[in-house]
Amino acid sequence: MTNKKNYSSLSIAFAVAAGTLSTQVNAVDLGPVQIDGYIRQQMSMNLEDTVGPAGEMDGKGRLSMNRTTLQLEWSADLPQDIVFKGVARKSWEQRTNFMKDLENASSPGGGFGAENSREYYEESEIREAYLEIPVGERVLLSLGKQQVAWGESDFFQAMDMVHGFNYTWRSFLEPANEDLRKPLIMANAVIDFPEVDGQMQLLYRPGWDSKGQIGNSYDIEGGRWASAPYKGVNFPGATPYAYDHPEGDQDDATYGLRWNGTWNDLGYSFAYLKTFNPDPVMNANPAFANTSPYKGGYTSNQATTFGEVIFPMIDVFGFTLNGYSEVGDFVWSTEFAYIKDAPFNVGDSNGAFTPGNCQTVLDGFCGIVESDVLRTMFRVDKNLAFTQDLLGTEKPAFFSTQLFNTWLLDHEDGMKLLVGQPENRKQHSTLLTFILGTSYMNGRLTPELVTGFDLSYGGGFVVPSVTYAPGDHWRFKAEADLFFDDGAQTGFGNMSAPDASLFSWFKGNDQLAVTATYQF
Amino acid sequence: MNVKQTVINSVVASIFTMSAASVMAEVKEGTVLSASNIDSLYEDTFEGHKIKDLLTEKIEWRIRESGLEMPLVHSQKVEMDAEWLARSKANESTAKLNEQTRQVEGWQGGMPFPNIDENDPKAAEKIVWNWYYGNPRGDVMNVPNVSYVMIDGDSGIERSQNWKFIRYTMKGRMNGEQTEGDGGELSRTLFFATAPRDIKGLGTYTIRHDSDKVEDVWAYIRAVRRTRRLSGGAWMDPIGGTDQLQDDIEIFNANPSWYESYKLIGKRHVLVAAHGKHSAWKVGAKTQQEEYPILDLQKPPYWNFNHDSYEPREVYVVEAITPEEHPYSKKIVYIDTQYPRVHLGEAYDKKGEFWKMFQFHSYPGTGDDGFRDIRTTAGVTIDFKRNHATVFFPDTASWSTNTSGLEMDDVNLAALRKGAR
Repeated sequence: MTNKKNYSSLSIAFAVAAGTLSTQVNAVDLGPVQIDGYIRQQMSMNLEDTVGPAGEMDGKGRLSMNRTTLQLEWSADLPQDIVFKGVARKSWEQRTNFMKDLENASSPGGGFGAENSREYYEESEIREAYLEIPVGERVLLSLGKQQVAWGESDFFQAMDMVHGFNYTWRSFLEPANEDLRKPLIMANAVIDFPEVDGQMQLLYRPGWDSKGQIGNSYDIEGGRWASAPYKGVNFPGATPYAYDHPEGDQDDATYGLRWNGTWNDLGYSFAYLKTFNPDPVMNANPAFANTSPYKGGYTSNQATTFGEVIFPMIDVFGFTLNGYSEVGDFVWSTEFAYIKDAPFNVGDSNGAFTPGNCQTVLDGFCGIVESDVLRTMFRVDKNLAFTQDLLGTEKPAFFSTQLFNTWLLDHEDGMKLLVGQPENRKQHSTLLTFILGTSYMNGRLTPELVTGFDLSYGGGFVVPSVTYAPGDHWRFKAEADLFFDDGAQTGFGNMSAPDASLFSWFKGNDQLAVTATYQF
Repeated sequence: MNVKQTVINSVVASIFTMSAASVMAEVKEGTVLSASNIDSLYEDTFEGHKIKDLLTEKIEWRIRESGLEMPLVHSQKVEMDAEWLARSKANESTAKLNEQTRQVEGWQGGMPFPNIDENDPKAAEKIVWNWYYGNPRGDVMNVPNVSYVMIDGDSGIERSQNWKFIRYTMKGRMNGEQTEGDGGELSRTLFFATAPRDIKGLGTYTIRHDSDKVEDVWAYIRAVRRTRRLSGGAWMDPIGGTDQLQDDIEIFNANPSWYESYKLIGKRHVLVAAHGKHSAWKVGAKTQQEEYPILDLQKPPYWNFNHDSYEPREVYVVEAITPEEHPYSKKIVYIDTQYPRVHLGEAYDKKGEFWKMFQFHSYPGTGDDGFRDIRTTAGVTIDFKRNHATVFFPDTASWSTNTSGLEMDDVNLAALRKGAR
């Protein structure tokens, strides 16, 4: 977040670069070194008024994002069959008028803290830089900053917890989630056992990552993806991130192992992972809420904070299985992730459930309780031939439906879905999603419809999109991100609204988004 | 009949004879058959075959109406590998088509049915099995650079993609053990995209079973850094944004038992590129025409291989009837009678109307171990309904058959994850 250049000059640079590159540029092959990448412009516009602490804000029709990204990817062949791979990304953001309004939201204070919105969203990052080192015939050792994806689930995290995701600038709807995953410095050894059609993967993260690389980052700074009704509210001002809490110290090592193989026609994996809970929890200031800090530890200044945001460490045991059924011609897959002692916030702001002597005006500030959790996913993928007649698609449409369930085995009253939101957790919460991908013009025009429904708390989302690929270099995408809810907070005065679950938090976030990418 | 009439008749007869002699002239090698001369050469011969007899109905239509030009060369003998011939010979007494299972039993590599009896009611099916099992591609087919070019008939090249292809034969191998693995697999295939950037890293791994079971397919999707199982039932679905079905790879790419039935229409000679120019793809050339030298990019429909070499080859003409759920009603394939190679094909829609044409060029190559294989130099699938084509060009300069050191364990799901990253 160091770039201070004027945005208009960037736009000109982008236009010039695109014009220059649109002649005949391909990936640059420098012998054993190859460089490619893209420059991308992303814009989004609110389709409805957003929801801040004082109620509806002037948001409809206003530009919520104007972002330019340059990504360079390179690989280099080194001696001894060693390969170096790297990915660098630089993003620039415009301070749109809507963003300035969020910065200047009056009560209880503007968004983004000491930064402005541009500084908050901009990035300069070496996202990946690692060596792939073959060791003998069987072992491939990857050393450095990298990404590792485990599990099978779409949209939601079961076993895919090696890394956190950065949802601050794009929320969870980004299909290419490698762009949102927060890479980590790791040693990653993959050992082949072809005799039994499998691989053992060993991961060790020594804890050398820069601050903020663990756990999921949500927009709790009051930006465009801040949950309703907290647009323009910078929580870390009063509830800072604490990455060095004894139960969730990012300097501590994490590790995991996975066996991944095939047996007859089935693909399967077993895994164990020591990692940080992907979703943060609020460790309330004992002086603020008259409650006990998590396992006795509170690391922030008790005089200036209400609480601190932490990512306690957890143990995850996982299993996946997939196969193909000739009867019905579909692919099925399933995933189980058992999380030992996952942390949850408790406490009702309306006093309905306040364990101990807790006194709080904010939901979830009565401490952290633990529960074992079983996350399960079952998914079916099928190609739908009838769309060729019904919709004129050039090939059967890709259809996928997924049921994702979270079961709290030690469920208790007052467990919150999200700190600051009144909705209590149920023992089971289930999400049902659908993907319908179609293709026209020899794959150059690809409309897609993604929908999801919260079967436990109500609400959902619909994301229709269309991508157009006119040639080898340009890609254009337009999408609408539409959310519906079963009741949501309409402002701070509505704090005790009982219905404020996942999709309620997106109230006011309906948007149109367009992306133009020039790849080389 | 008087003397005068007799003389007139003789003169007329002589004139006819002379005319016929001029019409039946042997066309010279190097002649380019095109719309401008097809009528004048129609009754002429090339290697003793009338030009009109060397043209399938659809090829003649393409010459007359769709800009196809065919430079003629004399046919050359294709020398097959000695081991492949020996295996094929050995199958004479062992290989049988089980009419219940519609699978071949007792096959040992090479062509299962080296002697085709045209009167055999199963002759057509056996010819297709010869292609399916006997395609002389070697134990390892390693093509590190393949280009797919998508062409619009009005505007020319739209897009191109580069891929890497490795197929490892598990059964009917020519070197070492005839069978690797448990005997249930016929082949393993890895297919990775290398360009453009948005598909780079996308890859598939396919296990083809030696049975009527559909293939096992996994994809590595780089954008999410995961493998995902794909439907094995997709063998009759289009490949990505191309004009090809999975079933259309090298014209016929299905287990023969997946088709309903076959009929041998007959034997004939056709013009094909069995000694095609290679490399038909000049990687890194400055202009598109230089990059794809056999393509005629100067005039619509831009997908014609007008700068290659066409020779007469004898082929079986086989009608293949598709299953009900297939997008085609039938395929007509033209399979060389000397060795298993599908040179040409036609696909018809469910109404029986002509839809697509397949034209694959090849040449005899030599593997790293000296094995004589047959390699594709260029292939085109033309969708005439949509006025669109997909052209396939392997970089023959980097093609390696029976690559030394490439083993079964280099072609598996783990390799998909490693290779696609």
